[in-house]
Amino acid sequence: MAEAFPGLRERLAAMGAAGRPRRAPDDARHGPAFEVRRTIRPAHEVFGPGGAHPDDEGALFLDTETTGLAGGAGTTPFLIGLALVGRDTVTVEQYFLRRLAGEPAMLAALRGRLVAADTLVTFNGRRFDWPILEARSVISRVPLRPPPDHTDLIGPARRLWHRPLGTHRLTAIERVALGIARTDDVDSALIPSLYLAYLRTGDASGLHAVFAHNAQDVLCLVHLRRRVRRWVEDGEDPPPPVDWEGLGVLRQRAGLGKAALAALRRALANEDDPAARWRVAQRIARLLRRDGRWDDLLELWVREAPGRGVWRARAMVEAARVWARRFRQPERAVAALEDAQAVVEWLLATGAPEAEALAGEVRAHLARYRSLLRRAPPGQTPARSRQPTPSPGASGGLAAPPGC
Amino acid sequence: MTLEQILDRLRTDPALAPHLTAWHEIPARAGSYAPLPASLDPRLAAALRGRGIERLYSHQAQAWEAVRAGHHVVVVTPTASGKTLCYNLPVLDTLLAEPSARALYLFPTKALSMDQVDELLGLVRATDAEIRAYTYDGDTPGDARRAIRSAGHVVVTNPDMLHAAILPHHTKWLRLFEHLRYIVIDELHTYRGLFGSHMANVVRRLRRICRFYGSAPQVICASATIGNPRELAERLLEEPVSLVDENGAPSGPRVFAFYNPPVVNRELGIRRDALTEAGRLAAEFIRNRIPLIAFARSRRAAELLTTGFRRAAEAAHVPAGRVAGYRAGYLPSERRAIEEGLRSGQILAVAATNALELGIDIGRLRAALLVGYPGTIASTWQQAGRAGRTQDLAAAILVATSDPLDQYIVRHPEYFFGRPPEAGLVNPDNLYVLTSHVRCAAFELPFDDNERFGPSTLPEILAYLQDQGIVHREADRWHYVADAYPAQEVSLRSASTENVVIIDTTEPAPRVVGEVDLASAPGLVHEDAIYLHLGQQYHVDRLAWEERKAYVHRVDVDYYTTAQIATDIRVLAEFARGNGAPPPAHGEVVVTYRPTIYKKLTLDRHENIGWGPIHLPESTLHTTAYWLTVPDLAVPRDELQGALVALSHALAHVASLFLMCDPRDLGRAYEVHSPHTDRPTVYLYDTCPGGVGFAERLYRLHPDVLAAARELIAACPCAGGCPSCVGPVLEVGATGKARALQILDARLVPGAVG
Repeated sequence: MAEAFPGLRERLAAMGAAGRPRRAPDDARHGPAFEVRRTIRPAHEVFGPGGAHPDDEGALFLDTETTGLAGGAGTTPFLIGLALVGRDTVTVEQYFLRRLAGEPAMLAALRGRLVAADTLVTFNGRRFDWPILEARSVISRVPLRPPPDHTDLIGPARRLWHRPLGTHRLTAIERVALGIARTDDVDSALIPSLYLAYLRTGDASGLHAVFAHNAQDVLCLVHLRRRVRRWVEDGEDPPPPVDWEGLGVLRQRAGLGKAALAALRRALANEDDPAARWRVAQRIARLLRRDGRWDDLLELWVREAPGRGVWRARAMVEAARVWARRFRQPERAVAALEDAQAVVEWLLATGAPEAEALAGEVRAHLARYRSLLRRAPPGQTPARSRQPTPSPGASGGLAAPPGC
Repeated sequence: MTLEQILDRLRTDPALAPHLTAWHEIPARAGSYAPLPASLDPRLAAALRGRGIERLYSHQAQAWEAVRAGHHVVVVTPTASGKTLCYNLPVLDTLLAEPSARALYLFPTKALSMDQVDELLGLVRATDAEIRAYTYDGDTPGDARRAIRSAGHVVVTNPDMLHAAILPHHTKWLRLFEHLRYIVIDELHTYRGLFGSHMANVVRRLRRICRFYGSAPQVICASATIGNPRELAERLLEEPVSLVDENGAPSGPRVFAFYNPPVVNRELGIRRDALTEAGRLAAEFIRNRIPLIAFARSRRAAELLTTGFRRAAEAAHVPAGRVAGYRAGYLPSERRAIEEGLRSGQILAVAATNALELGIDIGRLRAALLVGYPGTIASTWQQAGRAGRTQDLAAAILVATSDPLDQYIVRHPEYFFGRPPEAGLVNPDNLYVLTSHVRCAAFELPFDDNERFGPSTLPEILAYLQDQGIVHREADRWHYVADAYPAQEVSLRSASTENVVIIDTTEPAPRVVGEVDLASAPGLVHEDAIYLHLGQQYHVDRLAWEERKAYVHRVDVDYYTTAQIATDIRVLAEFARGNGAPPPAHGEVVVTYRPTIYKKLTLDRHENIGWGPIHLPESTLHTTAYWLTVPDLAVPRDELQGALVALSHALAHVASLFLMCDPRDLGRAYEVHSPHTDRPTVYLYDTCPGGVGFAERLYRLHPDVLAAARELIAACPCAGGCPSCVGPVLEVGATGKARALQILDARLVPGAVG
């Protein structure tokens, strides 16, 4: 513990000898304790071709710079960047704490903006910016109420870019997805110390880079939200690299099944990792089942999804389910399972870890569908049994040797 | 046999009786009662009656009155005297009347808070009221946390959570702090020493936050018996506190006996093993189906006792499930089952560590065996108090080990029985502790210039923190501006958050076997040391000092190592000097540790079979010390040195007795010729940076400490020194013991020195 406070005793002894610390000179900076910096940009510069979405006008885009990243009551937002979208312009407003005493006035100004907005748009604002503002509002006794909606773009960003980029930091996404490369951007880890240096010296020159960084961040939010909407809601394809699976999920959540399916199929086509392929196939299957597209579902399990080994056996089990339940053809189901069983036996022989569990599953299904077969032998299957379109080629595929 | 018959036999058996050094009988005591208070909410009164409580013990009624009168209160009564009702009654009464009111309960450990919530909820259910009580600790899931923050009437937590999770996020706890009416601090006696010094500052921060939200909660403390409950509470709260200490609960007759195992090697002062002796006594109780609890000082000892219990149970045809062990490291569900088994009588005998000492409800047993002196008078009474019902006879037996403290206690029963329990010491103004919490408090809310937080040094501390870039002063306020979450860096339970991790590389996959604190590391895990852990020997291959890692591998060798650490002590300031010639003193010191060499000693005969150098940086400790100037004996230098080693050994052990601290909390050093006192000098210093108040207390207790040290040495039957008095002959030399005694005798006769 002593190491945490180097020279504490010596310093206090020296201070004691010199009397109480002198009152630090009140900062010579005059004028308001917080200031508003406003810049207006033509909308087309921010959005590029295509312009704003009508909803953007009710949104308040927000990004804060703080004295620390830890959160909790003692983290102060010293710069609040806001963007407001008008008909032809985007206005960036930056509230800057010239002195810490200006915080209540700054929060009161923010309150005015929040009240007028119907959506707050942030990047990681649910976990970071908003809780900090809320805490500071309690300490400053300036109550803040959030707009009815809060769109945190970090969610879509994670889905769309984390896997291909290995990160979902805003600047990385900005470069790859929006094609904007920043020059002379300040390292965000340095921002707290730059502000502290300003507080101590009154020299704001070190902060210009921070103002620029924050303005760029908040404009990036405006731009990113628009583009994400196009990719998710309007079915446009984002530039690579992008996580097609993530895009599929986002489209599905937005209720756009067809576009979701397109993205997921693309994900499956591009994916090499068997576990990821399986996950994507499951997502596709869910969408197909919801729409009752049984032919496509069978096609998925028989042709598109199967990989090797375990994955192939699992796909066959899924295919058997479709044959039995949707097409009422237990004999085809049994054939598919027999194929799966051959794979499983080979897996058991090689001692694959999942083989035991899988073998049990295949056996259970096989027993069930065989008993179905005994009750309703082929030829006496109910008249409503349908013939799936891919069946001729499918059986050939099913007869392929295990392990391929 | 009945318990009476067993005790009779113990006193008359010629093999045992001579080793009983004390037989203390405490007569039965009738209860003292008061009616349920007339002002008590009728729903609460009905709930109490429904649980068979028609009247209160007098101390419960007194606590009620004191709380009603608006005082902060500290209630001090023994184990199982209905202490919890002292705070639950006024709290629930207020909550019934004002549903928006809130209460915060603080317990030092998790297990206790669980127990208390259960008890509180039982009472709440009986009132049929919508009062919610929750524990909030590290295990509380995220979504439950939100519910607790907004809707919990009673929030039960521990000081560590309050410090690191609640106060730094106080804005999320607005509802709690705005309406906080009561703070309950149970087990007050645990908040002493460094932990207590931290706690006092956490309380300062808590009350500062309450002021911000406009609440001024009343504090109700409950404590097991300690020597200075009111003083301790007032130091923690920094306001007057009313004391309720007249126990109204009845108790049956009790016997408290001390048993000192016979000496088997007089030369080395070795006695028969306390665990074996205790096992034999326990077997007698188990055979006769007398409900029994045994307390051991270590987990390992508790395990050994449990094994003994099992064997005794088998021999006596008692089902194996009726005896159990209980210690830290058992699963919470296992512990619960054992507690329940003890309450219901299903479990006949349990061997426990002090994990069972605190307020956990296990009903009341008939016999308690204390294997080894628990370290303080207060915990001895608490452990002994586990045996004792409202009517029947109960017995407690302390079985001594050969530790100096044990030997002092069993040979001086009058000291134990004649003395109030130790005082709990805290030093909330320890500069390092205080500065840590000023930093945390500044994070929570800016400091105003005219604000107070502990002593008057606050402006200097804030100015220091400004130099460090942690706070920034603007106009008349100090704002927190650092990019760090300060509470994370401050541990309430230890001075240093730094440990050296010990990594076993015997197997291909390295495994962490344990940790040692940074201060002890140079002596224990220097390169080529033999480190002992759970009875296994490890050879230290490499100590990566900067990384705080020691790499070891398992070995089986017939020697152990002991490090020589040169300790230099320098007096920086003398705070006070006593009368007498030459006088005792206390003040501020800086201690420098310089590891030099290690020796290899054989396990069986402690013979030196080799040595090696230790290459480690020296370290320093800024702290407070008490020192004692010794008259110059006209003896050769090495004899004098032996005498000083002997004296410091004995003094340090009796001092820990008076201070209610672990012997390791006190460091000792000596100088054959001190530049400060100009004479041979023995120092006892606080091993916590900045000190927690031990030095000043020792200075005040000086005559008592000297007398006790003299008694310890004089009464020890060993010839020239043993671990039970002045340390082994090997360390103190042939004349060490005699010379130490000579010094003490000279000092104790006024005017005989100088």
